[in-house]
Amino acid sequence: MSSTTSQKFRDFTSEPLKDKHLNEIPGIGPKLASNLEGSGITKGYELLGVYLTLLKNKEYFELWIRDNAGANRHQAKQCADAIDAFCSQFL
Amino acid sequence: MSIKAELQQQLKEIGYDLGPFTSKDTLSIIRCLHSVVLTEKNVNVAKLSDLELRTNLIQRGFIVGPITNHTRAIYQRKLLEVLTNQTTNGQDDEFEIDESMYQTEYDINENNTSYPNIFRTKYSSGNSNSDNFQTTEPMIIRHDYKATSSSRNSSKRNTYEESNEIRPRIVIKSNEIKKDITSKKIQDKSTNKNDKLQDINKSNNGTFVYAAITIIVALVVFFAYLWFEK
Repeated sequence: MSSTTSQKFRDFTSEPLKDKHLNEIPGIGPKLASNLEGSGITKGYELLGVYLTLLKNKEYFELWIRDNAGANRHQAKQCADAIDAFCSQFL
Repeated sequence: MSIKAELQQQLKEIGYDLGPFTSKDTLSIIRCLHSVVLTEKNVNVAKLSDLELRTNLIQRGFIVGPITNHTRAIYQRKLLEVLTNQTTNGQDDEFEIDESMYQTEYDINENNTSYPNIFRTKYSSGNSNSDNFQTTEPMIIRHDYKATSSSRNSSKRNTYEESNEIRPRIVIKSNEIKKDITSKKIQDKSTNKNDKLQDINKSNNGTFVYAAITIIVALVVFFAYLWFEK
């Protein structure tokens, strides 16, 4: 687990989600975002919804992201960490 | 039809609705475990209703959220895992690349020991996971979040290095050592890709060379001290 955080991570966890696009979630770039859009997911809060439905279980969420967006393990971990940090901050 | 599409079709017919990007390895593991569970315990995990799936998991101590279209696959996998005591977490699919001789040591959580022999003969792309990870990972991170001003480039570099801190240290170190030594040696094959492959193959030798250098330096310092003190 790294102590330095990226700018994207800091932006994501410092303000409410509102209508942010998938691109702005750490770990998810344009390619993964387009993969998810193919499954019908366009907004950041939809990913948050999946995370909450899985009862905030990071491991399950990482599995889900890998299977549904084609993320590799590292990207999935980044994404799960970011959403978890967001939840601990705002929920 | 490609192997992966075949697998997905088969699993759909059985009754699993997995994500479209599930890796080949995972798909084959799930298919295998499903038939194992079906024959040994007579439980068709794919056909369990949501409620039955939920009660099965809760009986075994799992905390289960609502089972929706999104989450059903995850919980089915978990039930398969707990019934057979094996992981369904397969290796990621990666781009086609020449198989490296280097055995993967990049293993954070996953146990790839469950089905190594069966699937390596069929799905050889899974073998090159570590190599692919090293070559593809930097490219993916660089694409991340392009919309930063130049003043933030340092933080971008931080993520690049921080996320790669575990893996390519050996590569970087052996590169530095090679710069010291190979001023005398002739390195003809010094393209980027070949460098990485060679560095992987020579990483063990690199550490020996590094140790040899420190010993030599220590000896030099020692004799210089004696000579000056004379």
